[in-house]
Amino acid sequence: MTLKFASQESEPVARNAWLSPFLFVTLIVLGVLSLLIGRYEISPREVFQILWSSFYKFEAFDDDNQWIVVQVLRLPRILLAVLSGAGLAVAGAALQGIFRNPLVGPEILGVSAGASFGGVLAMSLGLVSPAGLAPLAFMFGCGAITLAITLSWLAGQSSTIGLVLAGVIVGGLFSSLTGLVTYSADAESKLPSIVYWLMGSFARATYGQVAFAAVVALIAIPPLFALSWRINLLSLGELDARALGLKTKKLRLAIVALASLLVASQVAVSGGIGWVGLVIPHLARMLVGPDHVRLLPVSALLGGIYLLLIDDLSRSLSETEIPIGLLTSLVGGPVFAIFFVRLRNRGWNND
Amino acid sequence: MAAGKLNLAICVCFVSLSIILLRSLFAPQIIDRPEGGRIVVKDMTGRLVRLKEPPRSIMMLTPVSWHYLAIEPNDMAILRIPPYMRLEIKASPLRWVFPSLSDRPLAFLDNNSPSGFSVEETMASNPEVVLVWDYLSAAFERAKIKGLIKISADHGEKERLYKLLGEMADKSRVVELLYERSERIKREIFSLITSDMPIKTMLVIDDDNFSLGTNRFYKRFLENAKKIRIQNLAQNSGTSGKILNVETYLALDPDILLLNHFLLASSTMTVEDVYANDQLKGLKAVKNKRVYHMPRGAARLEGPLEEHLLILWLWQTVRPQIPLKFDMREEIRLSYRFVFNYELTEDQIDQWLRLEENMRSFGYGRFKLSSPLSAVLNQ
Repeated sequence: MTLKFASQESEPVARNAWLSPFLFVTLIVLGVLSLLIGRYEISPREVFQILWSSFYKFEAFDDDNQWIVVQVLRLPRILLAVLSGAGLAVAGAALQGIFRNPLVGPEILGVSAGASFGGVLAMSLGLVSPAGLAPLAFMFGCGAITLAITLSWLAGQSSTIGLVLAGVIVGGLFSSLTGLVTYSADAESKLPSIVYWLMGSFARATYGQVAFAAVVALIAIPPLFALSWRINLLSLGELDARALGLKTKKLRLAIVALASLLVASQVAVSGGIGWVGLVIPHLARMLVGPDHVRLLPVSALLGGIYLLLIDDLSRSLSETEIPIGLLTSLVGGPVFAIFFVRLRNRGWNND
Repeated sequence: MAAGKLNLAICVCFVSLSIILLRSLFAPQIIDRPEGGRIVVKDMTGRLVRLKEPPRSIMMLTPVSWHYLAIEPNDMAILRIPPYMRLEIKASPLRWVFPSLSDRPLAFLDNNSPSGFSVEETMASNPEVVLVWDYLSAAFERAKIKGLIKISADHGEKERLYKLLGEMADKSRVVELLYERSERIKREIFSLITSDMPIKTMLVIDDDNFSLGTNRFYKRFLENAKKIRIQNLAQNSGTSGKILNVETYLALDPDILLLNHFLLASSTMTVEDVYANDQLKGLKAVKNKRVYHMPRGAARLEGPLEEHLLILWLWQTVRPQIPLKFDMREEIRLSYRFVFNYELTEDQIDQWLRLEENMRSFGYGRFKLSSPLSAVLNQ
């Protein structure tokens, strides 16, 4: 099953030549506009003044509420939302490409479940600060994918399906462990924050988390972009890719590892956020076709825009932070259903 | 051409991420403006918070209005309350004492909401004090919210909470007086205990799933119960706070079964439900009609307002045969008068005691207004 849409073989590529620059500019504009949105009223003029002052003013007194709201509350969470959205979408697009399966999301390899368990474990141990929680979540996310790869290797199933099965097993195991820790967590002091974290939020975003997510993105996204034409070859199928001289096993492992890094870092900084890595690559594929050279950058930009807009809703719709995972599911489910029907009508090619 | 575009995409990505990384490595800093304040409050995480005056506007993101109002019985300073607090006000005597308090805007979306209240919304309300759970305080602390006082969720530290709120309201002496009175009454009750009194066993049912009352939530209550020779069977069973099957209840077979009054336990179970439950009919407590719904007081009936009332109620409920010099109804009335300067009516006292619901249970008639004690003892 390759990811190729009958209507997207030639013309969309030419038609959407300016799409990536347009999305890039849109992302920056939306990022700036998001600084104007929030429960604390600040005029656009003041926001722009504060933003401009970023170049020369690095500190302010604790009674300068407007500066604090823009620089300390809104800016880091906007940056984190963009990084997380971009990372999840790129990971989803890359994994769908190498597994040649449009239903594959970043969750399939058990990375999210592993990272979620790490985060929940950290909170149950009292490590509730982002600095205490993120490393453990990231470590368990990476551990989960290592376990899945080892398991598929031990089972002699180094094929795609073997890795997916191993991912499902590992994911199930870590989900059960998460349930166990959640069940035994203190009902008043720990359970609420665990439940909230599992639903995902950027409410606690710090510049430290942004730096962490940016470093992981720097390690994973440019190499994935560089490997994008090889993902095209992998999506042709194992035999074709080998015939073209590709070392498919090593390449697949490298892509899985890079995608897993992105997913683990996202869960570590913002908890469980579903659907982004599944829905956004489909949207991107509708716009630019299945060529990963174009698909990955467009997915990254769309993912960033999507999560940025969702986070704007999450923090401004009500006085209480709405868990972002709830909103991505609420939006992602119906949107995916629409894609599903439209793509089917247009001929989703399952050769 | 394609390779050129790919290289451009990689470059743009690399540069953008590097800019974000640099920006976050040189994160903006908030500087504390040195501020004097007559009132110094040490919050439950050990931070010192300075206030110029007792607060005139309080954002209450933790359900501690009951405790605060026991010290400063003026609810006008409270800007917002958590949803649990609204439920509790409507279900407890708070609604009689502070009738407008339940109309206060809420600080969370839903009951026991795990999500944090918007920090920006808090800043926009510009309160003088923000009371927040310590485990939900990270975002508030990061924004250096003024007057941020963190409350520990450890309910074993109720006395510390009262002291903290007393400092905050600049009424530490009131807290001392409240505790002096409560402790004196408890001492008098405990002094009546003799070692030959048989130990009674009890279990507290938390909710409709038959969860057991946890030791920590009722730490003080269970400690006090032990002092009057009433043993909580869940204490040693390792099952406290967890859902039990009915067989475990039958195996533990307590002398007395208490239904939790605490709203968060979300129980809709009544004494009548327990008596009507066929699965529970083999229990000693059910056979002997020793099932009671705990009084309709505030929160966990803790602190200097109601802790002594609860232990007095337990004593008189478990051992109705032994007369005490304390009249339960009178003690409830005196406590509310002393703390809130509020005169409870007889009907309100009946409601506090859940007289109607508990009336079928053994010995509860002693709490009835019209019943002479001797008549009840002859039941």
